[in-house]
Amino acid sequence: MKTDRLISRHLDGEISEKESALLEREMKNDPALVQQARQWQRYGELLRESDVPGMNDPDRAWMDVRRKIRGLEQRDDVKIPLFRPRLAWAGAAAMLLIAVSVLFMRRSADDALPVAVGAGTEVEWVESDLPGAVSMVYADDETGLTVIWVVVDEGDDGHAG
Amino acid sequence: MRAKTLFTIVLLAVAGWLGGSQAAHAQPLTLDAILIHANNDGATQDSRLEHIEFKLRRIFNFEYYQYFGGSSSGVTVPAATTLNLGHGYNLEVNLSRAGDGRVRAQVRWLKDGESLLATSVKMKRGVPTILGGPPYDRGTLIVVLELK
Repeated sequence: MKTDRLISRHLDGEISEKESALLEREMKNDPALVQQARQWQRYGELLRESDVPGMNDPDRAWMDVRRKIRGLEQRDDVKIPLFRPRLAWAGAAAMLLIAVSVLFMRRSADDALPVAVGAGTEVEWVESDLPGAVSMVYADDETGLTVIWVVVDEGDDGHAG
Repeated sequence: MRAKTLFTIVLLAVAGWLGGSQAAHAQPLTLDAILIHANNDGATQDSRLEHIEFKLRRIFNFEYYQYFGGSSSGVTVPAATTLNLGHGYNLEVNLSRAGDGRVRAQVRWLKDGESLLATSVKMKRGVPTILGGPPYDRGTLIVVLELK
């Protein structure tokens, strides 16, 4: 095993002179080692001559790396979309829109079909249980008062003046 | 992180705005009602009517306005209360939120338990609403209803 490692390092040009001398001695005593060294040297030459896909063009390899990085970023977008800046603003705008809509709907329901509107006063409905009575509503701009009046038909002093 | 902070601020602002508008309705108010006998026979001036008599005179043809009774009640909307105006007259009032800073008052004016007039009014604080018309002793009865 130790000799195998020496052969491998020798083929890579990584052994010292002392180790090289040791390897030479062992190879003289063992022809099988010579055969193994030649075989590994041939494998190395074949590997260097062969066309490894995707690795012979550095620019293309770098493009592949960048494409993979972009792919990872897009997956991150899907995982936490709520806190990406644009989506956060869109979410905030949607929240505001919903809030305003709710308030508007509440206000619309409240303001349905008023009888009369004075300064700050709005009469929604009036009724009277007095026999023959007629109700009327009057908003006086000058005084700012809203008057809800019941006119009682007695042929007398039940009048609004 | 910055976007998350902005989002949180916007959420808090919306919550505060909605909460504030609700809290504005929850403040204690005073519901004040004055019963007035409007007539042409004569009445001494009453300081309790100083703030309203000159306005009533512009609207109605009656010459005199006599303080006939009244009552006040502290309320926190929503609320239901009965104001005893005197001489057998009462106002049953149900108050609820009406939005836009106003209060809905559903009012029933009663004489000895008999309904004279019922109405629903959206009132603003400090703006009186006038109810009136029932005849009384050669004159007419008027109620000035106000949230203070």
